[in-house]
Amino acid sequence: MNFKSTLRLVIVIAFTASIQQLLYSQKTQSDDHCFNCHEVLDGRLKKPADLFKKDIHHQKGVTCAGCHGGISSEEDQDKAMDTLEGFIRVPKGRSINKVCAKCHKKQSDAFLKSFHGSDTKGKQPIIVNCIVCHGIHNIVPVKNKNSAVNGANIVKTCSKCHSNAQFMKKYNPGLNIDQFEKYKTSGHGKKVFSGDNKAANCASCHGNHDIKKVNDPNSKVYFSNVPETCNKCHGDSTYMKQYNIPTDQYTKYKGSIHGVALLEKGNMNAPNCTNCHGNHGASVPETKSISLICGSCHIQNSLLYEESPHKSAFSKEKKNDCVVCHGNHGISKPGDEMLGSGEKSVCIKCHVNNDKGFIAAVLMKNMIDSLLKEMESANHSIYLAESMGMDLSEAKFEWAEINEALMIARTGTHFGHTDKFVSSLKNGFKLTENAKVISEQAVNDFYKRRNWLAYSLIFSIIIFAALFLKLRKIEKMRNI
Amino acid sequence: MYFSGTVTLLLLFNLILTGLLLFLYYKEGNSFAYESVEFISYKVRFGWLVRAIHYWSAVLLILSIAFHMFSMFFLRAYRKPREITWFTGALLLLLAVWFSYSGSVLPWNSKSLFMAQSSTEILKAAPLIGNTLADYLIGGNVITGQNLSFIYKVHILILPALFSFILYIHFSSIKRNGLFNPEIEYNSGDECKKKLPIYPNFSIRAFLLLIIVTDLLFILAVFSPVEIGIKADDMITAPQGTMPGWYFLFVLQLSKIIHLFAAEVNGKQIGITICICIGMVWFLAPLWDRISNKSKISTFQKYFGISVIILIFCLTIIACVADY
Amino acid sequence: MSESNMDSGKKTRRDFLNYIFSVGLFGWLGSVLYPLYSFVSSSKLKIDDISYINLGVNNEMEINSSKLFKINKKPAILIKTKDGELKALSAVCTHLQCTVQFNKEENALRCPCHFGKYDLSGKNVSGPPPNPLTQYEVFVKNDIILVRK
Repeated sequence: MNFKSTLRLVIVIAFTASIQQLLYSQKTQSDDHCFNCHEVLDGRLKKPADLFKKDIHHQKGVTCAGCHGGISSEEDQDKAMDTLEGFIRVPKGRSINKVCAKCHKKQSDAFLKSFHGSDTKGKQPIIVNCIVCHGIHNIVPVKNKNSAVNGANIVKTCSKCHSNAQFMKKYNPGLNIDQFEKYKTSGHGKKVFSGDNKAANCASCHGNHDIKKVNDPNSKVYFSNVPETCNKCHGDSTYMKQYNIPTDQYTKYKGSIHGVALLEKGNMNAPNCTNCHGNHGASVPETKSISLICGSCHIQNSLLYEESPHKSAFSKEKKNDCVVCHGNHGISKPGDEMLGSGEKSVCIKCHVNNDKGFIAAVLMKNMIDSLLKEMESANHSIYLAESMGMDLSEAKFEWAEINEALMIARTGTHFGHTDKFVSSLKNGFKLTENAKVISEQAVNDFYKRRNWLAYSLIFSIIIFAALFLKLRKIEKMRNI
Repeated sequence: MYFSGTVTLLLLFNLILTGLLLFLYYKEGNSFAYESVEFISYKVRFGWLVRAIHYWSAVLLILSIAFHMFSMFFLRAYRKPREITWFTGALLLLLAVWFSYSGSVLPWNSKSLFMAQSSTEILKAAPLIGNTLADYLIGGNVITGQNLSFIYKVHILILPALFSFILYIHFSSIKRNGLFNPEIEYNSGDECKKKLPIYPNFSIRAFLLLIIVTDLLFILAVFSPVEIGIKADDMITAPQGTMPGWYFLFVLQLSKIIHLFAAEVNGKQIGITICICIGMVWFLAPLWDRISNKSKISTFQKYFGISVIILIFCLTIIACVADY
Repeated sequence: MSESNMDSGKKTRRDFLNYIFSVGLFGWLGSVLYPLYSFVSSSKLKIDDISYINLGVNNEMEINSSKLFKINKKPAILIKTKDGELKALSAVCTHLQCTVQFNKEENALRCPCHFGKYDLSGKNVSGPPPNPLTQYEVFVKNDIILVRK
């Protein structure tokens, strides 16, 4: 193929394409008589046509009849707007959705299953329809900055209803209306309002067409679904790259005592991300509020800590309260090994060289260890006495109290000083001693049984001997 | 000969006495049984003793009946005219096992319940009669708190009535034919010289036996008390590998061994079928042992008897060892 | 037995044997009959009433006070509220099985171990407890407080 023929081909193709383009646009412009007439009308009747000019649907060639029915290509107004030809006037409520669903079926189906789009009987007006969020006649693509559902604007769009106390009263008087205010204070909100559309908006967590109520287990923001929802962005290292924060929170959380409790054991009292970070106002907790946040569940520990010498020391060094010893997302079940001076001890991270704290840590650890040892030996003697068939329900009942004393002592470690710890542990020692005494008494009772047996056996041996001698004599006599 | 029969009788006496005593305090029913057994063992004075004697007598009773039967088998004491004695004796052994089985459920602790469930599973595997048998044994398919009452009534009313009736036939048949004495039977020696007078010789011996048996039970009661365990929950199925009652261990072990060699067959079913067949041959000894030499035991019978005893003994031991 | 031709020595020996035998017999019978007697005479003892627990006279219990008792071998707590209403709850904290206590000022139950809080219907209100406390039925019959197990 030479250059000439190639050029000819290109010209032919370009020409046909432009003719086609011309014909197509002329056809839409000229054939949409609804648009043509309304454009030249005044006021209320002109407005839709003016707005529609910028609408994506208009640009893509959807005529007025696409939504309103009737025949766009008919010049005669009566014929064009004949209800027999399917003209539906201005659609309202549920029928708006039907109109949109003609093309946007997927979205409409999702919407009808959502809380906004569903009602109990299928006949009631739905709470929200397409135009509430997307607008009428001026719909632009989501990616367009002017779209009401664009990342930059969606928060305001949602808040039109959700921050309106008067409006929300109608549907859910108990629901908070402060989401927008909170969102403005959140890390996500600050980013969005400074022009970063990548940060999370309403739809990132709640979904868009398929929004469900929080207490619907299929909802993305259902209590136990939250960690996974957050992880969609926070676990994506490429997505989070520009923010320079770790992306392993979810992995850590899943293995943590909180994560196991919520995700594996289904304990809805265990915290998810929002319990510590907040939901609409999600942010990184400030250092000074950490013990208060943890303390909303771990009350006792927090109260003790607030009075402990650690509180002031940590805040002076700007250390993160509870996190210093327990960690954050990957928090694991605390154990006695965190005390003392061993390998896993958290005390020796700061305390060294036999200072006051070091000595206290070692004392605590030693005392707990010796109580555990005592408990083991008491348990053993209870077991022994029980295997002798004695009643030890009393000692077993006491066992709960011993555990309680041990637990109070363990909690007491948060006080920093040893006094609360020691007093409770001493109680534990006393109770353990008591349990031992009970089991010893049981063993003594067993000895009583044994004595009775001995008494019985001695007499039976006497009888045995006497009868044996007698029998021998009788038989000897018989043989004579 | 007197020996094993007398011991059996003494144990029976102990069982009846302690059974009556336990009857004073035991309460049947899902929410009472365990509590009342606990009450008997811990609160009632010497309750532990009574309960332990009842338990150990039951164990020893089955052993002594079995021993009694084995010795009678080798002495061929079942032959004419003593067939009735033999058959009723065999029935008594089965009834004793039934007694022990139903009694094991009554304390309503989880261990004994699991044990009973496991025994039931084995019985149910028996072809044809299995399910019907289970119906009569436990009053249903599985043991729950609801048929605890059924089992209790069987244990304290129906079984004792059956047992004493058959025991009466056993004794009246002995009385009619005289006590079996191999020396009289097989050696035509001086009868009067060998025969032991009932009083005082025999009664003194019996009394000595009573003391020995009772003391043995006392020792067992003190040093090997019957445990109370934790309350049974009939909603929990027995964990894998639960042992049946000790008197069924050999059946379980046999089926395990069968399963080991042929994994695809139902080991339990074949095991219990084999046991039932052997038992039938054993119990029907009076029918097939008619033609053999009068005074000498046939080789087949000798080896059959010995192998059955060794089989049961070894299988039980293996099962016990495997448990540890 | 021809006792008549025995000489006196043999006679004394036989008497002695008889004596020994009767001593042994009585001693042994004593060791057997004593348990029998004690067992039967224990009928005065009663099993703790199996379906109800008696918790004393209603009038004697102060208003806004509590009382610990045992139910099925576990601690439980009886509370008389400010209004004189009686409530019986399991006292075993659902967090780590410590024994909860009645807190008059707060009008709530507190666990001493981790300060978990329950309201007077047993619902876990704050702190670590994952589940509410079991509630037991309370009856007052002839001014006696009874709790159904």
